[in-house]
Amino acid sequence: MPVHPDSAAAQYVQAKDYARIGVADHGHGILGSFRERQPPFYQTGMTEMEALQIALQTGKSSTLHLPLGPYGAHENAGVGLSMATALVRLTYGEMVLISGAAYCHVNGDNPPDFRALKDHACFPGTVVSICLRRKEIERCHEVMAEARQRLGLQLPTSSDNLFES
Amino acid sequence: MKTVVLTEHFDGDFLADGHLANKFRFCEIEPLFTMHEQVVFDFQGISNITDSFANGLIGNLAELHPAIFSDKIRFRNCTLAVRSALQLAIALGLQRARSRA
Repeated sequence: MPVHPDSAAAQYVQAKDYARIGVADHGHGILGSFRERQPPFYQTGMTEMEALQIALQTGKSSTLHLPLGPYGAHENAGVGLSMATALVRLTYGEMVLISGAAYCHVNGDNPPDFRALKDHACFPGTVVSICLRRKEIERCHEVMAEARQRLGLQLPTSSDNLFES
Repeated sequence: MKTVVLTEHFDGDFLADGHLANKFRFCEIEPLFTMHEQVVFDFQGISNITDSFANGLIGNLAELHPAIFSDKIRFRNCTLAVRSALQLAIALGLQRARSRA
């Protein structure tokens, strides 16, 4: 069986002033990852669409329940997809996430739309494609802060003191 | 006070490897916590970091030492992108600490 490399691509479209970023792998897919690692929220019989819906929730990761590694802490936090979704919605961008036979489409500030691929189509892995308008992300610091707020990830007020000029 | 200059420990101006960050935290930074009143991370020369890197290094520090984190840690010479990633990692780390308490 041929081994497909993971891939990433990016494109800036000057005429429309937006950037597209795409990342794809040929792994087990999101449901496959849940099935393999059995996080607490996994249930037998879960569909790929249900797995996508969970993956977009803040703090949901297939690895956080696993025993800690040699350095006594996890490296990921389960917020990548939820932050990406919040950023896309805040900046009126677009995101498509495909995993197995299901996909999720985020268009502008609309809630994510989860569907099954048509005609029993299936991607052997996971694809994320994000399109962001440059003018909407110029103040990335403020947009990130707003995205954090949307996800309920508040910094203590004392955190301003942490950053020296 | 101990200043940790990131470019002395990592190659390049984009720090992306969360596993390396976690290892660095465990092997190099945790011992400094007991030895120094304050630890300053100097990001001079670093243009951006991934969320994985920020979480592996800083988010886990916040989670493991929530009571003293704000007094002990300072950041210097952060770009806006680095600052955003660090703030997210800190928020997540402190949230995990609260949920474990």
